[in-house]
Amino acid sequence: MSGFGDFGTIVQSVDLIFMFLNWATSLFVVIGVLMARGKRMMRDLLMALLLFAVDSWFLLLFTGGVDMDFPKAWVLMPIVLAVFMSMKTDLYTAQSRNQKISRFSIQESTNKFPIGLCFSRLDGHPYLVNARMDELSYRIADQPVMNANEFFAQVQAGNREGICRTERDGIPLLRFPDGRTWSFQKELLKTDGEEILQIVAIDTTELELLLEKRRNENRELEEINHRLQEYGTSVESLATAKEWLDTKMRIHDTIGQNLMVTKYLFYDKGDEARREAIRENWKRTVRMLQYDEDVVEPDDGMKYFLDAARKVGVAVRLDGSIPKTPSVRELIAASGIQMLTNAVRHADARELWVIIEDEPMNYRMLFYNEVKEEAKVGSGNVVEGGGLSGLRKKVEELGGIMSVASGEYFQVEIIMPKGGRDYV
Amino acid sequence: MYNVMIVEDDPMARRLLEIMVTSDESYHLAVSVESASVAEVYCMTEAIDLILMDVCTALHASGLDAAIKIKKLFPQIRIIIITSLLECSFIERAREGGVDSFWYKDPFENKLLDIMNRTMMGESIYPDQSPTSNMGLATSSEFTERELDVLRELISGDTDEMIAERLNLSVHTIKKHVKSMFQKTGCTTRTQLAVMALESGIVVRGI
Repeated sequence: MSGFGDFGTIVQSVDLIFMFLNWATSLFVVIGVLMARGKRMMRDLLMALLLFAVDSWFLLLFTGGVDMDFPKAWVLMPIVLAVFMSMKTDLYTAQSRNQKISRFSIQESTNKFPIGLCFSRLDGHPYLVNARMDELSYRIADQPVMNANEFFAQVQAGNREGICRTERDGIPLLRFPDGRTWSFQKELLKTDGEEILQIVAIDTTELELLLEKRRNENRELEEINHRLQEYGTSVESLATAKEWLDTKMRIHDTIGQNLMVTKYLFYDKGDEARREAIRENWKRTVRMLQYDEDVVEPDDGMKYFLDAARKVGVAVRLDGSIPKTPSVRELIAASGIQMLTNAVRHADARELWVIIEDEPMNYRMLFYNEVKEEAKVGSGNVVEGGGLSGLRKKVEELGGIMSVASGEYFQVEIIMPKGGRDYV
Repeated sequence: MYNVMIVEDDPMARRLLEIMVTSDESYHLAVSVESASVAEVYCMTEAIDLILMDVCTALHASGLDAAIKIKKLFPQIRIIIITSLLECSFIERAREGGVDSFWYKDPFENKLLDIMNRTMMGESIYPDQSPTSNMGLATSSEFTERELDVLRELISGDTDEMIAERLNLSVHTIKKHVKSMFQKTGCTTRTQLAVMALESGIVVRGI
């Protein structure tokens, strides 16, 4: 290079290094655009290739012995190269930005979510809390989420004035003064070998309203069902009363017919067979009329049990007093009759013991009878037939427990809670 | 002379039966009780030849179940089921259980005496079909067997889920049968259907 001198040599050397770096950068940008495959890739690739071509030409120009005047070319060169470097950097950065998500962009995106989000370390130190969760935190604790564990503990407590706390399936629900209900779920996530706590808050107001509506409807249905069951019972009584009335009407009609026939026979002797027939009709009718006066209400179930035991020659040894509750009395009668049947059939027993204990929360009833020698089995070998299994079903429908055992004695124990369901 | 046991919880109806039995020389009244639950024990201790058994008896004991059990244990005892209930499954259950005869209560006691005599002679007498009754716009004969099963459970007041579990059906099937019965009867609600079923006596639960 002519007229360069020592200074010119130093500048030339620096420029050459700079030029070479520039050329290398161009190549790097071309490769980067190709690998990034970002938007507008073809356009950016053409730009990168053009810059690379220009840099390559400059490098060849200043190393290839092209003669140019110093200092113009050498002074201008750095400026030109710097501009080109800047363009390439922008190009590469634009491509890279398309492929990378920054912390800020994540935060920005999550702030737009309608749900509350909080990710933290296990000790509660937050990694990410979106705006919705911070807003909820202000309403619960007057501050943003500083520690996820402490925040969730405050949610669990839910003792802020104006906030009503409930729970569904173990998930805390907070109803705020504005009427909205939020659920808060805490979960442990495992990712890339690290454990992260996640808290999610969801507005469940509409769901809670629907659930409340369904609960109310179910309560109404239960009441209707209960009334239906009561109605079923009253219909049975009505049917019985109707039968009774039908029978009385039948008797009334029979008396009417008898009177007509009797009147006829006064005037026409007729044959003896007819007279005998009408006499028998009157006898039956009179017997019915006599009984009619004595008709009483159906007996208590205990009477059926005790009468049956007496008539078949089995002595009932009763210890304790029989409760006044109708359903319990009926159960004792039904159980006693079943035990009586088993005692006569299997044991040829002459005695049946019935012990009734009135405990604070339960009635405890024990029935037992002696067992024939050849029929003595271990308690694990009792096979419940139709009678005992039917009795067990009745007991369990009333909310009670029944146990059966056999050894020296055959025994059935029934525990019936007080205030249980009505007998069905 | 045949020994007869009467099982009938209605005192007046029981009295009528007692008078009828004692008025005929062929029969002797051995036992007269209100509940079918004691029938078996009397069969073990008395020489019973014939039982006149009501279906719904005292202590909520099913005369039908008792009759079927007694026929298994004492096949020589003849049993006549007597009922005024129109529940259509009773006849089939009685027949399958080996019960000898079946009689719907009517005003004519002579007819019952005739049935008793023929039963003791070895004949098995059943009505040709259950009497029909009206339920809204439908008669009892218009319902299918499955619909009657569902209707029988409906009068308990339980939910569709509980009914489905008991009948081993899906809830959808239960709803389908209920809807079909709505169309047949003209009922618009389950409660209305259940009340109508109870009043008509077309189904009886728990027997």
